Amino acid sequence: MQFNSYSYLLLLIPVTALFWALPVPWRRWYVLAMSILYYATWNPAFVAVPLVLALGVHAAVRLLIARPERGRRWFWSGVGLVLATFCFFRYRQFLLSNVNHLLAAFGARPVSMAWQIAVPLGISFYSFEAISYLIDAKQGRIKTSRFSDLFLFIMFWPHLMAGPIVRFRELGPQLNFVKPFELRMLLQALDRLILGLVQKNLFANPLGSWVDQGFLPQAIRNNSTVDSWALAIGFGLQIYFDFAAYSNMAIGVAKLIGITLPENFRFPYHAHSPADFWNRWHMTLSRWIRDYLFFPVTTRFRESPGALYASLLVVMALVGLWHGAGWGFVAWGVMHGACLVLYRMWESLGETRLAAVTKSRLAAWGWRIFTLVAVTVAWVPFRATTGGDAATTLAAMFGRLRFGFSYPVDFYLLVLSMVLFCVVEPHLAALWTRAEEGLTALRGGVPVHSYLLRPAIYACGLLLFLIFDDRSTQFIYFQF
Amino acid sequence: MKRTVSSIVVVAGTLVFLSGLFALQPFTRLSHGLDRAFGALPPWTQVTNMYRDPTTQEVSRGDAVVESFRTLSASWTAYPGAVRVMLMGNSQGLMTSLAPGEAPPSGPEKTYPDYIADHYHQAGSRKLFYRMSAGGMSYQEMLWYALYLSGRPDIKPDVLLVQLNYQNFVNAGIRDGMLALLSDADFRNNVAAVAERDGADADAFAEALHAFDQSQRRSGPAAAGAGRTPGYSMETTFREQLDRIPGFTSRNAMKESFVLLLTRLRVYLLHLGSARARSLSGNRIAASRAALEDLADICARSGIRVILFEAPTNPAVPLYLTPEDDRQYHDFTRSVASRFGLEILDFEHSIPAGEWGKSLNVPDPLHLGREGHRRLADLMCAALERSGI
Repeated sequence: MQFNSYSYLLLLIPVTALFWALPVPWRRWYVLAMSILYYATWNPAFVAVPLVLALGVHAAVRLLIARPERGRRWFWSGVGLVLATFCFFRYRQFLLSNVNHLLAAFGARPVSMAWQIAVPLGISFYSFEAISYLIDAKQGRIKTSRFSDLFLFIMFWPHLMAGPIVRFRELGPQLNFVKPFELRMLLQALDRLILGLVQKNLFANPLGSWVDQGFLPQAIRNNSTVDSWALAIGFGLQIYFDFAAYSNMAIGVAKLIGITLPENFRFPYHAHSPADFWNRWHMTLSRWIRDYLFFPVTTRFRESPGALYASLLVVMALVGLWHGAGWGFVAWGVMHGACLVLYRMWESLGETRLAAVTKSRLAAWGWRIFTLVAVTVAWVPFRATTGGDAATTLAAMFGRLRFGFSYPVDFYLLVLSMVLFCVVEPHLAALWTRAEEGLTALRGGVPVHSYLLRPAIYACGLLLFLIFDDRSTQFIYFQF
Repeated sequence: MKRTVSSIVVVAGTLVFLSGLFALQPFTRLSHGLDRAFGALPPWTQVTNMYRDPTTQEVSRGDAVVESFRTLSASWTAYPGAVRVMLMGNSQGLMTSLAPGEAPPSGPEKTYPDYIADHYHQAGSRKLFYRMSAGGMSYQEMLWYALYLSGRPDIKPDVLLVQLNYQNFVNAGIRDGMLALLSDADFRNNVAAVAERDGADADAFAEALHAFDQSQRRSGPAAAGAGRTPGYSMETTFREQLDRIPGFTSRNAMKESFVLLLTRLRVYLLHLGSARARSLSGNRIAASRAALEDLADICARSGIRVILFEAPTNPAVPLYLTPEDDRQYHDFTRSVASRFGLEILDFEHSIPAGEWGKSLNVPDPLHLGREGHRRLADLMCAALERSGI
């Protein structure tokens, strides 16, 4: 059941109403039941995957807490179980196809796999959350482990399929559902939910239909330099609006039942450096990577820049691989890793006599532009179906210069208008906040913005969502 | 209690506003306002009530060609020995955009292929005419059709009139509605042969085969089971119920009116019409050229006489960005004709500016008015007669 499906949105109303009508102690069980039902709407059999994972992690953590002298062993057993499950579902086919390529190169017969198993949705996300639970337990942040807490933490439906990736310490305490209902909560929830619906149906999907056309193998060979740049930018915008839409809806739905989930995006295309981009893009994944991978690596290789840079590249390649079982994703990760390494090298110049240069306004703008261009270019291998298609597109963008327009003018205008929207987005958000504060200050009179202005804006948003409804499109991050 | 009531007020208020928006049709109203402000021709000039005859027209416009060919087969096999003439082209042959001063339609409007069909019919000649037109038909699609028709004696034409239009060179690929023809095993083999060649148009055919196989997998028994997840079934049920609510189904029409509003803003404020003078990039030309040459080759081998005709263009709308584009395009069409010994009928400058329609408040680059269609039909009938058809 998609977040932007009619059935999900309409069922949300009675499900939320019943949640608030229930006595507090019942609510966690009710949310757990709803979460299991929600996951089962995709495939009932796959409920077993997070269940087995939670049981394994719970057992490992119980043993880790009970016998701290053997904690390391139980910790790695738990991590091993999660990673084995994750890799089995996620990378089985990818590994097999690469092995077969190698075998074919040596003239050997390929290995075939008779059984096909679909990847359980959300496995990349809840696997990371399970690992973060194990790490928190190992670091002593979790003193006792209750299976129902852990299972609810993993299964909590608003973040189950595509994040935000939360830590137990920020979600766990909220899962007692003791917060009382407030109108403000409902308004915040509807703000995010309807914004997400509009971002998905009005922005991401129309961009996606053009981008899909433009990345067909036949189209790729015909794309001019202008087309290729427009498609790369278009995909960058599509994936941003698509994932931001999902995150907004997840945050909004959680808010409906009084839960605050962390933010996932903060105007990523306004980043002033490659490092800053990762502070704004998929923030909960960046946080996970930073805390559990980057920091240990940085600490370990502080005195050895070469090893540190190589480690950064490997970590980012793994981040790419997390997104999907394909070399295009790895290339995307490595490109981001290379940008981060370059930026770190530049930053290290700041500690030398070149400090004035590195801190100049020109350098700041240079990095801002470089980040935008690099991020856009990196989307090409991420989106292209094959390495050859990615290479053709990159060649058209940089080498084989041709300046024709192969698509109707509407495509270029759509990309341009979405770029302009991204430019003004932070200012619009600030304006909305200021207007909200101003109207709230006037609240001594009629609370016009809660009962009149907001419903009017919600209605406009819902209208756009309804008329651009397209059942056939999925959220991009669902495949990860 | 107060909080519950407040929440209900917010949700109910939203639904009331939403119903109001559906009832008000704001996009249509805004479009009408813009049309008035920018002096567009009335909506009836874009004729919607077009003449329809499945025995002389491919009425699905490329979306359901299997059914159209079934009708054509029944129609043509009823007249053994008749000369079969088929015209292939883009939406110029199936749409009418009334010119300023032309009266509102009083019944179904005909286009120039319909008048040609009438001409043959009225003359009592043993000639059958059929229009194979679809909006933005690419040369790869024309090749697709030619390949299919050449293997079907019951619907194989004797004469194929192929429209040459500069704008068509930007189109590529095979639309989904035409993929169903791949169910024919012989045709599929022929398509696969084109796809495996090293030609510039091979990619389009390979892509079409891939798309067809994918769609078959999606609609196959295994996929049917996979698609029917509990969530999918639930969503289907919800949608069926929602569609019973009066006005709810009008959301598709509202989307169209929203898109038309955006189009108006583009045309009125940015002065960007649907067609502008442009240069065609090399690869597109190469793919269309290869398709056209393949079409000529297949028809020659199948005994189909091909006549190329330069479609009329609106003198008020420049299509070529530079004189070099004009020269390159005509050099190409002439080279195809001479290489395969084909005749070219030139109607490019045959219709005066006053007989073309308008798209909003700008001259339509492609669609003729009522008089324009009649004039073109007369010119074509005369030219075809001179060519012995």
